[in-house]
Amino acid sequence: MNLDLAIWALAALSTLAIFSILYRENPVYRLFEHIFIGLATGYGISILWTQVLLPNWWTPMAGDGKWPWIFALVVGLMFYTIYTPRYAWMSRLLMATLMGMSAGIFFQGFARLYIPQLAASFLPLVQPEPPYVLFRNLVIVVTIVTVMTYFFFSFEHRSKVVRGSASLGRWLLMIAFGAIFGSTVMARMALLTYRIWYLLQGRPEIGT
Amino acid sequence: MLALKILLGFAAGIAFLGLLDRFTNTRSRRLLMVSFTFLGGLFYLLEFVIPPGTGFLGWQAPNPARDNFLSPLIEQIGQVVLVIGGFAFGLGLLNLAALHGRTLLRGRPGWVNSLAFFVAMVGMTVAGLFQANSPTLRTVHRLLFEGLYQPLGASVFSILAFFITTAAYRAFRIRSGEATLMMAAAFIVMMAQVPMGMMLTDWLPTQGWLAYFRIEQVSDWLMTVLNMAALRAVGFGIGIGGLAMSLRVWLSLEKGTYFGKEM
Amino acid sequence: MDLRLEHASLFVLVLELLLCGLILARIFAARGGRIPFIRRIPGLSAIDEGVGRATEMGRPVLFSLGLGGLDIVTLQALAVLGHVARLAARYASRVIVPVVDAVIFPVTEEVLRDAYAAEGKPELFQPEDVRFLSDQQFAYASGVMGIINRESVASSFLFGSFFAESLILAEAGHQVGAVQVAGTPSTTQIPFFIAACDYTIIGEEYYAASAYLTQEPTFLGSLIGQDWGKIALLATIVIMVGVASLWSLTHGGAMTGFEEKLTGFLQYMPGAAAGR
Repeated sequence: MNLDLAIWALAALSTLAIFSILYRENPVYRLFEHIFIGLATGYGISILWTQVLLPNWWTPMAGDGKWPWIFALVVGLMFYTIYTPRYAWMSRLLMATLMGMSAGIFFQGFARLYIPQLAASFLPLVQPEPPYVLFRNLVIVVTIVTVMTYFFFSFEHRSKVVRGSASLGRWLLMIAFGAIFGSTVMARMALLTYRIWYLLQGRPEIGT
Repeated sequence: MLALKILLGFAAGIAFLGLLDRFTNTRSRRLLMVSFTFLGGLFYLLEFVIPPGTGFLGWQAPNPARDNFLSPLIEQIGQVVLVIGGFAFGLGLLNLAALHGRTLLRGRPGWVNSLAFFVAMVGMTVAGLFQANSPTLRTVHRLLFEGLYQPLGASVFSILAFFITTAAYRAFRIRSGEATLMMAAAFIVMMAQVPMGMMLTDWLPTQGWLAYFRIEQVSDWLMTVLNMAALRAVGFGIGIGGLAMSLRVWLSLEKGTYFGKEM
Repeated sequence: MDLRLEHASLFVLVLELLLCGLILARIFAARGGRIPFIRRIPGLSAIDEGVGRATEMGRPVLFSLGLGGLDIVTLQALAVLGHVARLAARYASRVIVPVVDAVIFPVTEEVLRDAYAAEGKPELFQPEDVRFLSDQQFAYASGVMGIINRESVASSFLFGSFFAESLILAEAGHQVGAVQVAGTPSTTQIPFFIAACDYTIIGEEYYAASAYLTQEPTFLGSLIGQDWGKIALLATIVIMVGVASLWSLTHGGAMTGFEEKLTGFLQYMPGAAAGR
């Protein structure tokens, strides 16, 4: 049987099986869900070996003679001690170390991500800027201040100024979230359009 | 000789862990955990705060204009962490195999699905690992990857089109000022992306101050000014929140079911 | 503005020290007995409601930790899971936790087991309720959709890092009539959670969850420190907007020089190698 046709047939079947959940959960969806998870697991295993362990661990250790890499396996095995009550503390030690590293990385990430944004918020609000730029700057600064006010936790929003600012912040947030929602709709529709096109028009001609 | 070194290294590593378990008690283990957490974070923190060009005992980074003496270690440590993290995949694999294996072996309802799981997993693993050596396996891999794996993923992704419609329909019905604002903004941005929507303000001039009220201009302004500013403000809060949590984790101030547990 | 911040400049160092100092000061003040006040966060108050509903209906709770690995975001989600699990254990309800990361999987199992044990009901913990599904985004989403439908969950909690699959999980929960509470620092997914879930925890409220739910002095103090940090940032913004406005007035509106000086200031690093 033509391979491309077989691929198309499987793909079409998979698509219809997944779409069937829109009606309700059913045995066909369940079967393909399990197949999907199995494929993803198998794919994960092959990628893990070919792109992570083989080039970064096995080749340096067994190929280039850097035998200390075996200690990485010893440390990796510490994850599995969680299933033994006596040695479970070792897995916690490893996790805590990784969490500590993650925390350390965040200090750098905070600076790289937020300092440029902070600097970009230092905008002039005074003439002789052109009016539309001034209006833009005013909206940006007011939005930032009011939205940040909304996220204060340590006091009830009792004062009129604070309550007003927090309310305005929440409204501006809702407008922003609406804009994100709207901007994503077309992209999602395009995905569906392609799937339907594939079902209807994507079948390869028999014999090609 | 290399194989022997590797085996001896493995044995030595396991022996070290055994000794560590034998000669430590709850208190010293807790101290170890706190120390390793601190040192793990300290390395990255120091690499960040030490200025470029700084050396240590005569040792300099290859590119002192950009790096300090710790910077070259970042990549190496990253590689080690990647490998160690890779070994953890077996944890998930064991769980999946145990769950589906039990169902299959005991003939529980749904055993067919568990069988399908194993067939798919083994098939994809073997085809993925050995396809370079066998045309048959290359064919199998194509069937599994292009015929099943990719379409399944694309189909799940494309279901979002239905879900985004139902979610928008429900949200449009909510009678609150905030929901109305949110949906009005969504409506403007959606309409600005389609010709039919752009026709709504097509009659406005393309030059002059009235041009700013064309729907595509309003949509662009909403996305690049208001949306950007609001997300920036939310981001500052999230950043400070993340900083606080990172600080608590780094200094082992974080209490909870996991970190506070007896060792 | 193109800032090169591979290493901390003086400004970055001072700012981060200030923020960390404020947070630590408030933590130690709270530990010293001055328990601070935290305003009500509706989404977090609804968590207890959700678990209670599941108990009444005799249906399980679903808790998704999102797509993150072993990081700060997932750690926070685990903290919320611990609270939910203890509540569920108290009321003898099931909590199903599908997991995406193999490293998180044993941690999740331990959190759940400990929660049931802490409530004196270790026998109610079912190991099959913590399931590693897949590390692939849409395989995970399809698995969770299947679980939500088959188990007909009464409540669904979505806490962690989410991406495009967020709406899939939320709508699946809505299809079975589940009460849904979502919390994520992934701002681009918040609109979908707002549209599809009953309660959504937005932005920094996500990191306030552990303080709010546990009322632990360390977390409460940290939250107050975060507020002070926000005040510091706001003050910086207001002051610098004033400086920028003054510059604009005195330089005929041209801001190029201001941006250059600002970039130089923000990147200034005493002791850096020459030629940087």
